[in-house]
Amino acid sequence: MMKHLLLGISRTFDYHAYMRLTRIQAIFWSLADIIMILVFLRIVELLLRKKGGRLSVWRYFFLLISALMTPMLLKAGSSRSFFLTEAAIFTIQYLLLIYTLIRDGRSVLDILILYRSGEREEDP
Amino acid sequence: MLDELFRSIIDFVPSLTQVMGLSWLFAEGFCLVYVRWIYLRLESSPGRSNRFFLLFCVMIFISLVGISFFIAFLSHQQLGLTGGKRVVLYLNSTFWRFLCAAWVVVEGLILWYIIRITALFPGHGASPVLSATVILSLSGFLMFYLYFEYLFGLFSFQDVLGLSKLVNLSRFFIKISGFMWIFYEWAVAIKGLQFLRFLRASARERI
Repeated sequence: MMKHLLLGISRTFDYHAYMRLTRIQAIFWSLADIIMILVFLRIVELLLRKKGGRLSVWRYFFLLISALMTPMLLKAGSSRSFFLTEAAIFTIQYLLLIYTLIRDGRSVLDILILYRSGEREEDP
Repeated sequence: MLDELFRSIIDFVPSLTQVMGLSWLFAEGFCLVYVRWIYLRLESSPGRSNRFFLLFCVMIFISLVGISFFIAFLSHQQLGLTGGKRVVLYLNSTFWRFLCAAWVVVEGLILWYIIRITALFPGHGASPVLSATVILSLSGFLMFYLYFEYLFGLFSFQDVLGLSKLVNLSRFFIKISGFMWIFYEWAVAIKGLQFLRFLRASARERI
């Protein structure tokens, strides 16, 4: 049954159908990525503040740049230009994530450990 | 001589698509190792080390980089041969589908560890429905992937489908993976939002 289904799909799922679906999916996953990284940066900032630290504004700035590039995915004419735009957006976002994890990862863990032990003490 | 050497080096260079795919897998793997490390430290399980997991991930990644060089080399060798285009398409699309499936698995595991991390804080449940959904969706996806690869191999080498139809089929699998990424990424974003709200609320309570 699956074999016949896939054979049917191979006849109907052409380049145009693929690109239409890709554009719709890209908007959904890009939105999720932007929210995910923004929330992650906010969590890191909130935790660092407990130790008197701060998160520099430029990380939000780079996230904003990647967010502004997202609508370009809808306008990309070919799969090649779509891929290059997506590559640029992902590269900015992943570099931001990795930089934050390397720079603040340990501090965040230490604060979370303190936070959790504090919560446990307050727990009746 | 120098020309020949240069040409043989060029033969080993993977395509931009594969280089980007591997870089994204590296970034996601990095995040997975980090969230697992956070979970083990917060759970205080000294017996469970992250080192072997890290080594395992590094070995898989190095193997994938090696495979991408090998595919690039084979692709250059095959192009001139009869039926070579079919082999090149099979090699490149199979590797790309493997990367897509690997992103799904890594993102699913990241979500899994984030559920476990948030469950360690009071007020957060273990999210049994979401946990079960992650396990079921990941196992279902992996079974579909393996069966798809089996059929794709059959369609490719028994000349069941032409090249353009094989490309269509491969693209279809990539779109199925896309739905899985969207689901896991939104689940991580929502879990993160809940955790941020919890941190803010408890910070206010302490003031």
